[in-house]
Amino acid sequence: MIHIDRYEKIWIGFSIAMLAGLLIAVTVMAFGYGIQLPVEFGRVDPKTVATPGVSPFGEPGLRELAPGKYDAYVLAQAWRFTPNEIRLKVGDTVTFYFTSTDVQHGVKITGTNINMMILPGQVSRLTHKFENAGEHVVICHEYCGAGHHTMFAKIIVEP
Amino acid sequence: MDRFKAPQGTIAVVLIYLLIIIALWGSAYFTALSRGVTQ
Amino acid sequence: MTLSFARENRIASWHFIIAFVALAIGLLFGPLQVWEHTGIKELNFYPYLRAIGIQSYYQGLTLHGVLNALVFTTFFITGFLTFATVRSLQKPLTIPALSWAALIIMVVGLLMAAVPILLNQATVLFTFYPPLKANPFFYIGLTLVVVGSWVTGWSLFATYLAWRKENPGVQTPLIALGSLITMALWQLCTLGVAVEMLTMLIPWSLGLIPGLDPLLARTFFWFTGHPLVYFWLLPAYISWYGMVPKMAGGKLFSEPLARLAFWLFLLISTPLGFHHQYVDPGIPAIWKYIHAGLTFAVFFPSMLTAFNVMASLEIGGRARGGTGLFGWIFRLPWNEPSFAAQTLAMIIFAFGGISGLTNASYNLNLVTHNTMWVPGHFHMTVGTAVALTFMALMYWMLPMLTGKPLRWPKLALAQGWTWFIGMALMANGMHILGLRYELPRRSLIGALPYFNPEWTPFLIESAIGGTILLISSILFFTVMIGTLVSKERLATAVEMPVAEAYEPGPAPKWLDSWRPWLAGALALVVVGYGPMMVQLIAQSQWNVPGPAGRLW
Repeated sequence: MIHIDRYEKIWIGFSIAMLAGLLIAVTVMAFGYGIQLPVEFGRVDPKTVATPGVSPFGEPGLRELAPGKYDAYVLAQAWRFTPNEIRLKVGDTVTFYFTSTDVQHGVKITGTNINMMILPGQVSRLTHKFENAGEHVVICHEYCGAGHHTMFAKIIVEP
Repeated sequence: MDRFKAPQGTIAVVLIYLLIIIALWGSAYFTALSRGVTQ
Repeated sequence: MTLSFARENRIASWHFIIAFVALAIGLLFGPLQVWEHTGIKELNFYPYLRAIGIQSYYQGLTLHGVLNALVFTTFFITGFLTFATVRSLQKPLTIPALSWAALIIMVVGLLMAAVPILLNQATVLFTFYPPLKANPFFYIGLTLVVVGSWVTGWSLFATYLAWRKENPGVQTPLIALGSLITMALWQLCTLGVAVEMLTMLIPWSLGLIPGLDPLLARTFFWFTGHPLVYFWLLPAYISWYGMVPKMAGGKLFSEPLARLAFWLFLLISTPLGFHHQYVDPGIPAIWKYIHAGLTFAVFFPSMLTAFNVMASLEIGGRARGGTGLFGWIFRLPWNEPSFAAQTLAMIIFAFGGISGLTNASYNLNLVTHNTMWVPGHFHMTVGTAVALTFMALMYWMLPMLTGKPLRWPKLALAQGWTWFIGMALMANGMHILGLRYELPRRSLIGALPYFNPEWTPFLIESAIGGTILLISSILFFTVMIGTLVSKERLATAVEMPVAEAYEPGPAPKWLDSWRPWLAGALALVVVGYGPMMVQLIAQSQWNVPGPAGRLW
């Protein structure tokens, strides 16, 4: 074995303990508290996904599941989100579904933990409960060409 | 008197560093908590 | 007896010349970007750049990323590892033709990739995510640069094997070991991007296949993309472990643990690429979580490095008369440009490590992913720990290669400090903008329809930082060119600084033995990527053709 200095042993111990502690903290936050990452959901055909009748993305927008519970289907294309404005009431819970028909895009909804890549052929899904009135910006955060910075949408939460 | 025996200064600096890691990482952690659950 | 490394010096010099020309051009776009980001119209210089053929912010951003992060790093590293390995082994290259061939392949590749970028036919940024489709020569050129860097590695392996035959039972010197491990890691991890290029991007851009699968392409890309940062970082570690302690008047505190750190990087750097795909659809949570754990594991050798390198400096500072808990720090040779710049790079890296750990922390990535935090992070790591260390290495390598003393050492000293201060300001602003204000990265910030005046103080902080970095860059190239054109000659030759071990004696055999570590690295890749990779390939649908025309 190799000789390790006493102080260095202390440091190795603290380092491992800290890394383990941080990993436990995120594990609790993910699987206990419910801040989860987007996961696999299933494929779609990017050529037909935006056709009405083929998939919910054919008629993008809000769908009410129950009072205060919605699904939101949002289509990402260079350089716009459809719909580009969503109106909600305080307390609404929305599950967002995003897909792209052309290139890679990304989405971050400000003030929430919704942050996903949007890929052609894949559906990205996360949920958020809007607790406060106000505006959120739906930002495209992956470079998608010359108009990338103009690609955004709005969520307006009314009291 | 201070001929090198053990890296006392080093252990002091790296332990301070450990606290800085936890503090800065913690600020991101609490930012995440404040932005709501996703499921 | 003195060995001549004249041939190796010539090879390395060509690598360095190309690397720093690329850096000089790539750097120029940095300040233009931070100035534009402020939203102040007078600071947006992109309209003027059309006159010299730069059509957009995004074309400039592609040049900035490709030239700095891909070309500068790869050319410098292949040159430096050649330079350092032959000296560390005290053995010239056994097949120098291989190294020359490697250089030629890399240069051909560079030219092939550069032309379409300059013609605005490859404005796809340095991550080139499909289906944004660049000119095929862009992909072929970048592939050749990687192939050339492999061949440089083969030349070093051949030299090592010959050395091993002549020196059975002798422990591999640390600098050579670190260099060879870096090259071995590179050969393993670039398989991902090679598969992406050869099976997807090149045939698709040539029109031979109609479409591809973007998720699978991202997965291959990030198989390479994270170990890539260790390919950048390990040469800096070679200097910090193997050379800087000597400059500080100290010794390497724990040589065996330095070796262990390099082996651990070889072992665990590759099977953790899903931590760049935490927010991708199509990848199960369990795989993201496994890669989170492995990413935390690869943080550990850097923690070892922090202690070991600092303790080595403490030995130096105390030998130079430093006392007390912190007094030794002030006795270090802060007036020596190469030492000062590298030590400042380490300090910035300590903070870059923290933001990297945050990115790697599974769902914390929801807060930081693709925000301004991310470029803030990698400007502290590759942009400082790596780039500033490489510049600092030139402060002794250039005198060694030219036989001329470093011109204007005071300017060189100021270069390290201005880089440190400029980067601290810029990265601090970017981290806050990403974390608190959720600003996207790689976007024309000044033109955002949702631009928020609350961002302005931090955008200006970043812009001031970027301006100081521009000054620092000018200082660096002034010193380089000043030295090159100087007529002075060095009275005594400069030697490569090689740190002695604090406790002499060879490390245990398992720290100088390739088989277990290579086998372990391969096994971890198979376990850590295999099942999910097989599933992604099996489920892949190559039905995404990409947009009909150019989107830029």
